[in-house]
Amino acid sequence: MDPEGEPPRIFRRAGTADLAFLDGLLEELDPFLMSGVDGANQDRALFLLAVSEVVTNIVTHGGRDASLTVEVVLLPGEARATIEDTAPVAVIPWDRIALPAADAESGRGLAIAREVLDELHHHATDTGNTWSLRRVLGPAS
Amino acid sequence: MNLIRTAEGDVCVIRIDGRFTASGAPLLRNAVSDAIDEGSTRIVVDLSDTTFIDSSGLGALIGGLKSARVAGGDLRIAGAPDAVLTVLRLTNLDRVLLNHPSAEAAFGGS
Repeated sequence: MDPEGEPPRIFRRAGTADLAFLDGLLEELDPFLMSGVDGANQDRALFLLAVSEVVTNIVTHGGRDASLTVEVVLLPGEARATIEDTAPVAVIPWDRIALPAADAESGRGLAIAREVLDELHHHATDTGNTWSLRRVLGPAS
Repeated sequence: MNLIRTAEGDVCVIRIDGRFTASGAPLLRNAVSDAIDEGSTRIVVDLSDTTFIDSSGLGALIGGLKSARVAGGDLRIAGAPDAVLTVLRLTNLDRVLLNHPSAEAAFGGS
C-alpha cells in the first residue's frame, strides 16, 4: 500500500520489439494512464510520449530478434516505467543527447524523453538493457 | 493511424487521424511523395484528428516539408490540437511548422 493509502496501479505488456508492439502498447497504455488516479492529463500525455520514444528507440536499434517487457506503475503523484529489452547493449552518449537541428528528420527521441521526464536511466544487464522512467504528475487542473 | 489524401483545388490535403508514430511515418512520406509526383507541391497536413505525435511523426513532417520545398512548394500543418502543439513547442518545431486554424486557411491568400 502506498503511504498515501492508495495502492499502485500496474500495467504490463511484453512482446517482440517491433512497431506492432509499439502500436498495441500505446493503444492500451493511453487509457490506463488517463484513468483512475488524479493527475494532470498533460503530465500523463508527456509520460506516454517518453515511453513511446524509448520503445521506438529499442525497436529501431535493437535488432530483429529483440523482445521487451514494459511495466508501468501509476502512483498518486507520479508515474514510473521499467522497460527491459533483450537487444544488444546500448551505448548512450548522454552528454551528446540534445535536440538536433530543425531540419533533422531523426535523432529527437531520447532528447524528448529526457526533457519530459524527471528521471531517465539506462543500464546494461546480462540479457540486454533496462530503462527506468519517472515523471511527477501534477494535480488535475 | 489513418491517412487520407485529397485534392482541394491545387492544394493536396493529407489528413492524419489517430496516433502519428513510427508506424505511420512512412505513410506520410509516401503520401507527400505521391502528391509531388502528381504535380501537387502545395501540401497541407490536417492534424485536427491527430491524438498523439512523437519524434517519428515529427521527423516525417520535416521530411515532407523538405521534399515539398525542394519541389518548389511548401508543406503546412493545420488544426493541430493541444497534444500536438505541446510536442511541437517542446522541440522548437513550432517555428518551422506553423499551425494554421484549418486546412482551407493554410494556403489562403498565398
